[in-house]
Amino acid sequence: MDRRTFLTRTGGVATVTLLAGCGGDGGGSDGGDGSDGGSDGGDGGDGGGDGGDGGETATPSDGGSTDGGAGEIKVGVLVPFSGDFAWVGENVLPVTQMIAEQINSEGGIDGKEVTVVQGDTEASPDASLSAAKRLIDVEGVTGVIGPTSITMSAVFDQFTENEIPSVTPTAGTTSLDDRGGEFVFRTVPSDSLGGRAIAKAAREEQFNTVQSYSRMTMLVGDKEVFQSFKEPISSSFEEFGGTVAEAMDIRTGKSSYQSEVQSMMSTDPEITVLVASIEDSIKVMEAAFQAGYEGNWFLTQDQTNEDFLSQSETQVTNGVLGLQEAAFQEAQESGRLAEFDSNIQEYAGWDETRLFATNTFDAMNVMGLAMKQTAANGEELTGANIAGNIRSVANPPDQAVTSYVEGASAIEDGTDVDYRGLAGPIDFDDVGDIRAPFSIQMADGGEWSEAARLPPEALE
Amino acid sequence: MASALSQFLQAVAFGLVEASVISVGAVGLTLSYGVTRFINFAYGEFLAYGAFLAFFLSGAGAGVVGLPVAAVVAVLLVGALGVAVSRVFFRPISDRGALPLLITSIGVAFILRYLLIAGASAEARQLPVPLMRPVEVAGVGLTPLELGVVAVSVVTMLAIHLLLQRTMLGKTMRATSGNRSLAEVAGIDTDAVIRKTWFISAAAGGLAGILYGVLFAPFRPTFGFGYLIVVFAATLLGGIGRPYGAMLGAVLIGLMISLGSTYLSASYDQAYAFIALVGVLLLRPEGIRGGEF
Repeated sequence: MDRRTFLTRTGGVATVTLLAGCGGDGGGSDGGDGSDGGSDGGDGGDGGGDGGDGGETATPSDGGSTDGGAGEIKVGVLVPFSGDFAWVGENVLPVTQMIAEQINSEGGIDGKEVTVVQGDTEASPDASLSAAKRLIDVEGVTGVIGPTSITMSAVFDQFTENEIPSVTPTAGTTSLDDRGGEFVFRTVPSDSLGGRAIAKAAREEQFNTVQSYSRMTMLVGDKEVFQSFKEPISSSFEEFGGTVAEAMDIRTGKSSYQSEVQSMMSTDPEITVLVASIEDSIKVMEAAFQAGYEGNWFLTQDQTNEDFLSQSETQVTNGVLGLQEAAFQEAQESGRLAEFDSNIQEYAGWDETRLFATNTFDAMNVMGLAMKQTAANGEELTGANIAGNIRSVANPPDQAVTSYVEGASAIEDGTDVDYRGLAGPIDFDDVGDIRAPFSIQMADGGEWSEAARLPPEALE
Repeated sequence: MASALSQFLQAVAFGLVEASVISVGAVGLTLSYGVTRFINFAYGEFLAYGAFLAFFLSGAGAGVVGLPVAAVVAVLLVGALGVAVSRVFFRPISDRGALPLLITSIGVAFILRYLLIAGASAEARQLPVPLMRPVEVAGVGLTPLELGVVAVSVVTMLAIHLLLQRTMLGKTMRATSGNRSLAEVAGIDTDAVIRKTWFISAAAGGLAGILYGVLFAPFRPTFGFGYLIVVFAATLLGGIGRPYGAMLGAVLIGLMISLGSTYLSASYDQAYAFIALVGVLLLRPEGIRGGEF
């Protein structure tokens, strides 16, 4: 059993070094020691393709092991599992595992079990780069779910150079606005859409139910994850006819924001957009309250949650506006969303469905369907081939499907599919981005409720 | 023009509020230096313990008592903790010179900090104080809470002044600080004086932590060590070992931080404290307040 596991693992390495070889030097191979693999790994499920490749590609890191005759296909989950953003990992991993189990209960991909491997980015670019390299070079994943905005820039090249598809449910960063679409896709709307939504909703009373705000000040944390929002909000707000009095950067993690609040108040805003961590947001908003601020606040997705309200005083948060991704109406009306809620809550032991859960559901389903399609096409299960099928299983026309199980049987019947998800229709554009509706929330008495809905068309 | 003036006055007011917290901490730190002659890096943890004990004893944590009572109990407990820490870690090596004591205190700081994290988790907490709107006088707005912090600090400074000048303990503390051997020869039980000083010093640290918690919520168990740096600056600025210098140093540091944040950049708050410190040390290495205790 142990030997078997060892062989499967090292088999994975061979597969990946093959991929790395293809990406790096156009398939140059040293033809070293990979040939023993065929007999060892002789796993019927993996088809002829892998065996042959194992023979032609081997690098020193193979260490004389097997070919790609593995009985498993690995998907990496590359998000923070430790540190301040460990909650992202806690939200994403169970959903990924749940879908992987569904895929495996349907017989896996071409007979191979899908296994989920964790890569902890620690929300740090350095750690994320080494985690990505480990997933790709050592674990031999053929697809990645993740990473987050904070570390996307650090690992983007790893996906393109090694030809490993990444479908990220968590990276809204605007740095992906004009790249991706070949190997990098996302099932979360770009921050620039989110920022545009904030600008639109603040500007027009019909989307916030309070007033049409015309004078805005912004307080933006000095980390990439927050800065990403700055330009989309301010330029859109001005485009919609408003005035941005000032867009101030604030240092993350200070003990007091009194001075920042004084400067903000001296610009006399009707509404202040606060883009910061929950803890800093509480400090800023309490400082402003204690300094006599009378204007309103608009918060991003990061603060529009129970966590934020439960730590804040209601007298500070009453009437505050927040942005959330809206539930995809089709998914809501058909009951799919409720079904997912009860499934994941039971599977993961959650009280409520958490942030990024629906995006992860979509990301993993798209990944699974692309793998299935690759196998059905008779193509080898490489990252490049899987990446090439992502758009074809997600975008229309073709038969609409809403889950892996449904999609897989359609693919087996030879039908092309169009995956429609929980977060939206999941149709990737040229750069791998999606469009999605937003919900404008208002806090009252320590709870969020929807004030208005912002359809994707309103942002054009 | 009026708004520029009121902005300046507001910044001064905020500076004095922060100075209140710093001064309580700085006086405590400098008192312990006076009699023990080493810089106690574990002092910042007394701040954290003060804030967290107050949190757990009051409504927000276990909900045993109201915040004022919780604060008093927490201050006394931190004082006792100070005595215990000095007994266990510092007294056995008290004759080895300042350097081993200083290094030990860094180790003690880690032990205390991670014990606190182990017991209370690293989560950010808030003391159960009500949020208040500011009361404006002549364009300067402060909340009753902020004024309360200033009042507590002023009372504490007065108490320490009376302690040092009017009580036998104060006199023996000053004597021990001035010359320990001479104090011993004069019949002063210097061990007892040092023990009592540890209590007062740690208790002041605990109180500073609670005031910090009132002003700068939410706070984490690691805040003490971070804030120790500001407290150090005030202590050194005033001339270490000199309580009145520490009070003055705290006011200067508080003003520097607030004015620097308002007029230069709010991102470098603590850096202004150090600019002041470096400047003073270059010009007057003995601190702004030379002379004795």
